[in-house]
Amino acid sequence: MLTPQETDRLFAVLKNMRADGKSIIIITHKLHEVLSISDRVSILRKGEYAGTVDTDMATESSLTELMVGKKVELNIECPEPVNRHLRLNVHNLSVTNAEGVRVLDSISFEAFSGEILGIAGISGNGQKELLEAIAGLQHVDAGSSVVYYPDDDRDSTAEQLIGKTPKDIRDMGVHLSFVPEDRLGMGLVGSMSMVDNMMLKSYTSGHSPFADRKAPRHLAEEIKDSLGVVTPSINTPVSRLSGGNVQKVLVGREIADAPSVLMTAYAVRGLDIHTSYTIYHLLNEQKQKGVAIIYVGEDLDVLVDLCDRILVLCDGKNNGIVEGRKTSKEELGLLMTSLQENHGGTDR
Amino acid sequence: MSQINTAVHEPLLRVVKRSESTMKQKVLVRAAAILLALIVDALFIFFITGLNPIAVYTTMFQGTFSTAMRFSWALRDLASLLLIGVALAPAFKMRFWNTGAEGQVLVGALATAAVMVYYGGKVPNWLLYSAMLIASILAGALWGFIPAWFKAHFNTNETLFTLMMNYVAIQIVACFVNIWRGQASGLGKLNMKSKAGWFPQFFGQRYNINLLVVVLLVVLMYCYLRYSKQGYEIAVVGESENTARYAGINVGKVIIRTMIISGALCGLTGFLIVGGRDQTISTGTAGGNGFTAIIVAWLSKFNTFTMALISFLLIFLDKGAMEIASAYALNDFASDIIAGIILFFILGSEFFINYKLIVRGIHKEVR
Repeated sequence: MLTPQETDRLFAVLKNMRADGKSIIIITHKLHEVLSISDRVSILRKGEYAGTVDTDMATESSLTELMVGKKVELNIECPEPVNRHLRLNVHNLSVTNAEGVRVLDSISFEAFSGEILGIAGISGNGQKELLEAIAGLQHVDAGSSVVYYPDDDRDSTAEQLIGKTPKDIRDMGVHLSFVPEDRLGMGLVGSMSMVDNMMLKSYTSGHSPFADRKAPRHLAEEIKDSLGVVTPSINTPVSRLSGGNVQKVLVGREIADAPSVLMTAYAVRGLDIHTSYTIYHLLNEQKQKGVAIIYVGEDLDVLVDLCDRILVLCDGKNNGIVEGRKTSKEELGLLMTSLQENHGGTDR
Repeated sequence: MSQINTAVHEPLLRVVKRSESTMKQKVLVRAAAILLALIVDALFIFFITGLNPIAVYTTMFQGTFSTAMRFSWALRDLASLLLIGVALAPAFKMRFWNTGAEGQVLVGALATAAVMVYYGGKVPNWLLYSAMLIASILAGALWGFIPAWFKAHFNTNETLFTLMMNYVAIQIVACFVNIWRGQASGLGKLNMKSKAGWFPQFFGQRYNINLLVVVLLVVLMYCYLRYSKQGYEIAVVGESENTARYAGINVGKVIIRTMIISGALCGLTGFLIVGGRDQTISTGTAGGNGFTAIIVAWLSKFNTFTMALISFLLIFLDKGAMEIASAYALNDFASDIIAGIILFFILGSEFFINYKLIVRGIHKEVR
């Protein structure tokens, strides 16, 4: 993953090579990159050749149409947050990994209901640890604090999440949904069917020693229909599904839990453009329901378009929080690569 | 643009994963495997040993089925093997490679024998049986708990740990056998006169209790793994510990609990072998079944009903091989090869259930 600045430099190199008489084939899913660098574009759809067009004649929407096979609305909405109040207060969160490296360094930020908070940063700058620490899956350093506010900003009902296991957090009645980066290695059980994956977080409900599979079966049917999951049956192991469908199953389950906080890590990585927009749409729906969403992403265009505020991680530090409506890719790219003097101090 | 020749040299044989095999395909593949095995075996029997293949097959069949006594022995051995397979099922489903069943059976057997030796004739029968049962289960559970605890807390390698625990168990049993036999040349049957602790016979069949327990446990374990919440936890932990932690499962607790169950059932097997079959103990009480059961559990993909079939197949081949060896005064190795060829083909057929071969030129365009 390159920052915009690095991409520009790469493209300059490629253009020089072209001027030198070389043939260049570039594979990318970023349409504006295709338009800015190529002379001709060939489009593949589901493993088949869909056509070749001259770049001069192409637009983002015409390319998308070829990629998807039908017209797709390419606007990501970002409605103004309504009924925004404090949901999560992360303070001084630090994580030291097994090798003794401080992968998260005194991160502080707030997440609000009805708002999408983006997390930008070059991959491996603490995004994974940040989300896992909030979800109770990561050992954190002393002094870290993640406070959850159920309904309003009152301190009396606030709950400290640090030191709790995922089960403790669920037992407290906190609906914390988490779409992890590693879908089949953490979010889902690959060898299990959609039905069995639906009950991953809820199988303990009820007093019977036997697991209830009726409700999960209903939920699986529902998600299959509403999100258009392509699968031979809801009893097929999810590892047999394509990446996009696996992600729909995972996101569908996490949203079905009626979350108050929804964290997603690289929610659209490897997905086709159509499924990606389905996911953005689902996130916006949740935002309008008053969910506090934390969206870790790598596509800066999407981050800028989708998020109300964006926190930039650099070297495990909070390198500034910017307004999604006012910032630019270039500003984000700069924050991602060069640590600011007073990191963490530029909140809002 | 000119048409570019994209044809690549196609290999003579290609292996392709089947997307989904139907019941009919599975039955066909297995039937073909057995037929092929019998043909290859016939060639071996005819050309190498010079015997009549049909006669040899008949003899093999007689190893298990010729008399009621033989059939009863086969069921007895099946019971021991299958019980251990069932005991291994939860651990293996959790991808905890419990190679210590042999030792867990032995300590269960030792605990049973100890109760028989020290309390036989001194307490009422019902109390003696209960004490034997509880002692064997506790001993097996302990033998399962120890490696699980170390795995959960220090992430030790369970395969080596459980394997080494076998040798500890064997030495302890050897030690007690020496103590109990005293000056005698062998231990002999325990409580020979009083028969205290010997299982009663039901319906004229000596091994009925063992068989009954096996049938019950096959069904119970199947339900436990498939329908219970704990069974679900075991499956999730087996697939990925990260997913288990994400789901809020206490991985260490599940590992320890599951191994206690696995060890306890092995201990119970020891109880049934000593009380219901041997009425004595030696270092060979488990008879290698603890290791053979690993094959049974693995081949059946931890489905206990499949385990019953596979255990029966193994016992049938074993008895058949012995029968051939004695009936034709054949070398043991030759009869083992005859049984081995059949096993090889049946196991090999599993590959063709998941994969198919495509020969160059004759494959159809799949659309």
